[in-house]
Amino acid sequence: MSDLVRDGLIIALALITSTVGSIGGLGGAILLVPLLTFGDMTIAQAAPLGLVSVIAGSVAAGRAQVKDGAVNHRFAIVTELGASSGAIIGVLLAGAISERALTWVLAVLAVVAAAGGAIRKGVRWKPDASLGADSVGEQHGSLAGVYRLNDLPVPYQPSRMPLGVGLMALAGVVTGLAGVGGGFLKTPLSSEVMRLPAKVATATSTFTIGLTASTALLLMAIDGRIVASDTALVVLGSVAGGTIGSRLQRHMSPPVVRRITAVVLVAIALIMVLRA
Amino acid sequence: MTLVRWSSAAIVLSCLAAAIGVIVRGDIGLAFDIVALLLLATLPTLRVAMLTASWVRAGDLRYALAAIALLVVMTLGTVLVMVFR
Repeated sequence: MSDLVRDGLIIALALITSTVGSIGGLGGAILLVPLLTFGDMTIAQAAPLGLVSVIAGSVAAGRAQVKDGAVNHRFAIVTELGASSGAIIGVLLAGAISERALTWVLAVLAVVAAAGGAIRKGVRWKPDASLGADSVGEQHGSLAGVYRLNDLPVPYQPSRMPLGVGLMALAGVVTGLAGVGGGFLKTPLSSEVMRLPAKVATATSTFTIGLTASTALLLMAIDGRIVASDTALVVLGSVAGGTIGSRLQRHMSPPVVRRITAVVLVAIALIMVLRA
Repeated sequence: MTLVRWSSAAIVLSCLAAAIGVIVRGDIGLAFDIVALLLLATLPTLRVAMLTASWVRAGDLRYALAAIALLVVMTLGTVLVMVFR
């Protein structure tokens, strides 16, 4: 394969996986890394590129999502405190559970999360025409907020936070043990347990997985595992993918977002099982 | 909106640096690749720092403290993983 074709292929794969990842708030790494290993890369070489794709997709999608009031930063910070603490414990315990068993646990969790989002019918939070356009965004001193759906403001109030943050910490332990980002667990936990609207859950998860990935990338940089020339290709593809994904998501109804997320989650579970 | 403006500027600069890195190659290209990576990789953490500052200014101290706690956890986690792994 010539260098030009190889570079073009990496850009295209980063673009496609980041588009899908930012629609579902799952990050693209869990799809990109296995795809890269079909070529001449090892998992150790592909993993940092996966993290770069998550960060690039996250920051690119963030622009449109913040404008729509779809990211709830306060919710992100509170839940990420649990998830990050759990992830540190998981990373420190890595190796305590066999990789094969862990992969099966992750695959089952992904399918359960997919079922949770796909089974639920209708829309939990309804538009409120009495609210003005200036009400869109987060509420001062609270986790509640208003996001824009088809140009109508939709108020929401997350609930069951102690349970949700506890489960986020557990998800953090599992993802830390497995060395994956965890967007595929964070998004369903936010929407189905803490009752965030699907679009807010995906946008907020897209923000938090970018944070997690930037910390993991720093550790890989210290280990000297990053090939800068390949990361530039992934940056180009993933920034475009993140932008496209967030724009596509803007025009989708919440049930469609949930169903796409469910399909990708099942695909992720299958990839995990095949790799195991 | 400041957040969106800063993010947009950093993303555009990062893409420009990445594109130059891909086209030029060699040592100069590598320098641009690293700039692109650094710009993007620091952006999520900078976003938390900017949120912290804006919440402190707005008097939303509970969430500002939560954001500071998250930055501390992330830093501690990085140090712990470096030391014990």
